[in-house]
Amino acid sequence: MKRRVAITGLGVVSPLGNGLERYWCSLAHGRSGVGRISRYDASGFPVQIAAEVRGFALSDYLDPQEHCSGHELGSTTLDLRTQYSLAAAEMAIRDAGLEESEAWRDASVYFGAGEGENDVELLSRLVTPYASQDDGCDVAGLLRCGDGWAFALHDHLMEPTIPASLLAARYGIGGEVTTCLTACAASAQAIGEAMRRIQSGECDLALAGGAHAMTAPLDVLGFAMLSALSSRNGAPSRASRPFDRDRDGFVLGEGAGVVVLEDWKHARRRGAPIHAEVVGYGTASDAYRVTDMHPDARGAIRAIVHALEDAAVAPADVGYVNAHGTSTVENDRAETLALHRALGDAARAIPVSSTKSMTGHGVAAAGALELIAVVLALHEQVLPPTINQETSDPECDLDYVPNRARAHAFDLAISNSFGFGGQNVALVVRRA
Amino acid sequence: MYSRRIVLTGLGAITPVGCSPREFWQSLDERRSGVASVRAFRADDVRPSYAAEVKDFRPESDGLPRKKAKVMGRHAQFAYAAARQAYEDAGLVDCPALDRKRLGVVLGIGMLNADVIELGRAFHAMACAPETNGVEENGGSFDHVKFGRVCPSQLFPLWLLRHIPNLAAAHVSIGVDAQGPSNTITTGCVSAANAIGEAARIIARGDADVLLAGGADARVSPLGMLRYRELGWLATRDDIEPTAVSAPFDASASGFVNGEGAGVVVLEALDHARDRGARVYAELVGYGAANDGCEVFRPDPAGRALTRATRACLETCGLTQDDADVMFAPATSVPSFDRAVASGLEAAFSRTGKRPVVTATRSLVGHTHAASVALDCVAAVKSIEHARIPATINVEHPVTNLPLARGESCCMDISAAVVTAYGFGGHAAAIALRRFFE
Repeated sequence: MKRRVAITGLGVVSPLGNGLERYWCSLAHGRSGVGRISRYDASGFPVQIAAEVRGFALSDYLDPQEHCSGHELGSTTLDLRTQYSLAAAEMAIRDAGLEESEAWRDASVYFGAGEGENDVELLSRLVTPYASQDDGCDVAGLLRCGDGWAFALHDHLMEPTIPASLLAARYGIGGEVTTCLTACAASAQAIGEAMRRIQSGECDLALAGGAHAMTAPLDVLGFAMLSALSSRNGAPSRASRPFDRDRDGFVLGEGAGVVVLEDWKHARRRGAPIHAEVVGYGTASDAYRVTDMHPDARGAIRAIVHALEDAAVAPADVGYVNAHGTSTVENDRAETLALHRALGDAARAIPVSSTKSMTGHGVAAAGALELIAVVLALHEQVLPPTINQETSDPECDLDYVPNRARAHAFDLAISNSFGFGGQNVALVVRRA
Repeated sequence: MYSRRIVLTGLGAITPVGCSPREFWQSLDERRSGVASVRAFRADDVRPSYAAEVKDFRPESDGLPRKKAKVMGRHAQFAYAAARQAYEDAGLVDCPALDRKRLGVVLGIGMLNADVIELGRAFHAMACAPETNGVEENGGSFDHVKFGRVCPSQLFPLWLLRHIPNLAAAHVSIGVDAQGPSNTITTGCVSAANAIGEAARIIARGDADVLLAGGADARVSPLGMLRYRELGWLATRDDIEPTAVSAPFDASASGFVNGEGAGVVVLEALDHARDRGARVYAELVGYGAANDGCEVFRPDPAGRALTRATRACLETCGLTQDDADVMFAPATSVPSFDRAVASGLEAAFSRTGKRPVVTATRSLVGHTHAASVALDCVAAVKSIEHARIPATINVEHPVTNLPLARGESCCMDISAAVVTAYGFGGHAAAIALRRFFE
């Protein structure tokens, strides 16, 4: 008999606001978090827009004097992704009322985190003196140079494992601490795998979720060069328009979403508030192309079907789907097809929305940010909209909750996350 | 014990001492070191000038088309080749009994460094281009406007694809048409142990029947060398032969030798392997993982997470310390780290009586980071198969009283091998493999 898994804590840092209240308020009002890139002058870039986290200071959540493993947490050497992780985890743990709990000693962390932001300025300082057109770089010269320390520390702190390791160190977590990196599906996969650990009895308590900040110069340039991003530079808030006929790519976002997952009985025993229950997890690969979804969405279909089977529910039980909905021509068409195939006749009656229309694409953080949106929607009984729905696309023919939030009575929701490279994840969540 | 028995039916290895499991094993057995002068870039007068590089790697011979290799990082090429070897070795090519939807991939992958050669061209072009007003605007020394205007034309348009960590597993999935679960785990040098352990769980819970699991890393790059040297972890001795530098558990150890490679094993449900008449190398019987939960930038001197992970692993399969014949240890030749490993393992086997013989393959293949534990699993399987334990070289004054395999490889009937992993971030894990009995 599988154990039940409760969500007892939520924490969020997002382009729509930091903390649950602000996040939900923006979602429910259909506000866009997308704007012109503010942290550097992107006017020379092909893509100049992103959904950036604003008004964030780690010291609002943690004591900046606090040290963790000899490292000052308030220090600016921690990259944004790590700072967001620490803040979101602290919020989630307070929300769960587990600040002082002994239970963390045997708890687990499963995080879907990307690498930290590459500091292109630092790389330029390091490499330019040895750069040339013919060889690219005089490597021997570079390796002889004495000032690699700043780079080494930066590179070390960029490791994907850093956020989870810091969380383990901060809360004294001694169980399994794992970081997965399956691109845009990472934090959804992390939540699904953490759920399995609790179901099977490997742990009673887990921190799960993810963080990423791919809004730095090299990331924006890299995705722009793959022609994956919207180049609607003149109208940032209208750039992310999943399922709309005039969509032209996704908008990079950032943030962190952390959930406290807990064995149901463990949560009940300590009288914890239970926000929702994770009941289903399904995953499958396209095995098609690294840059494209399978045109028949074969992996996505099976991920959704497996998640429903895992939850032992029927398509007609589903009251809402939070779509992967990236705003690329290809994803939104394939995802619509996947929902038709996986949910059958029920699909037409089920509202589907993409909160990426507001948050942009948080990449490794996206799945967790969206799962939290689903939990809040279940709680409020209100569906966040897909904004920027102006012209319908005949190939995208579902109810996308266009432009305005909608009151809706429902108990069960799916959250889809499809990773670049073809890993597809679906989670099923039930109202507590 | 797992609710479904899990066996290893295929092996693949791309290593500094050979590009197949057979060559890898022979080199270990004959104590051939893979440490030599760096070939990847000119580094004559820099320290260190040596590394454990994969030599004579020909991706085409492992079925990787040139065009595909172009969009793959070196680590991904290694992963692809090793996975392909394992897949063929397991007899899975065109195997009618294999349901592609129940074939998955879980890889441990390390962080991928920027390519200084490629970036160098972009930065050079920037330095030659006229100033824009970008510098003044942001007040810093870096002109982002110029960067945005000049660099795209200097970079390979698909460069990002070489730097996205999960694409190695994606390439493998595509290469073998694996439509089941896929995961990429990045926990530093423990990555491959977590990948293999998580893969075993996926089979045990019935979500797949066959998993390609392992790890790959390629950090013998200029920035990889620079990083580890600056952090003080890399051996930089130039007063002795390169092959003598990597000395895990020895008093002379001065740092690790940077290595690279990939190891992949085929994990399969025993019922599935039986049904298709597969050859079985060994059984995976246990897995444990833990975290120090206190240190991020250096190991806990007592190696407590390693002790807990090893004990948890043995408990899950009901093995006692008497049952483990050989232990593949994660000692890297970094003195403080090796002492932590030694303490952690000594505590795990503190009871008097028989203790497993301990060996550290990193003395021969250097530190292959996210690939290291997968390579140790391949070595452990070969050890069981050949009833031989490869020796740790360069140990003259051991810093531990663990029974180290030194000198020549020794013959020993091995019924159980334990592969352990420990790394920065406080991560630890252990995997138990047993000779297969029906």
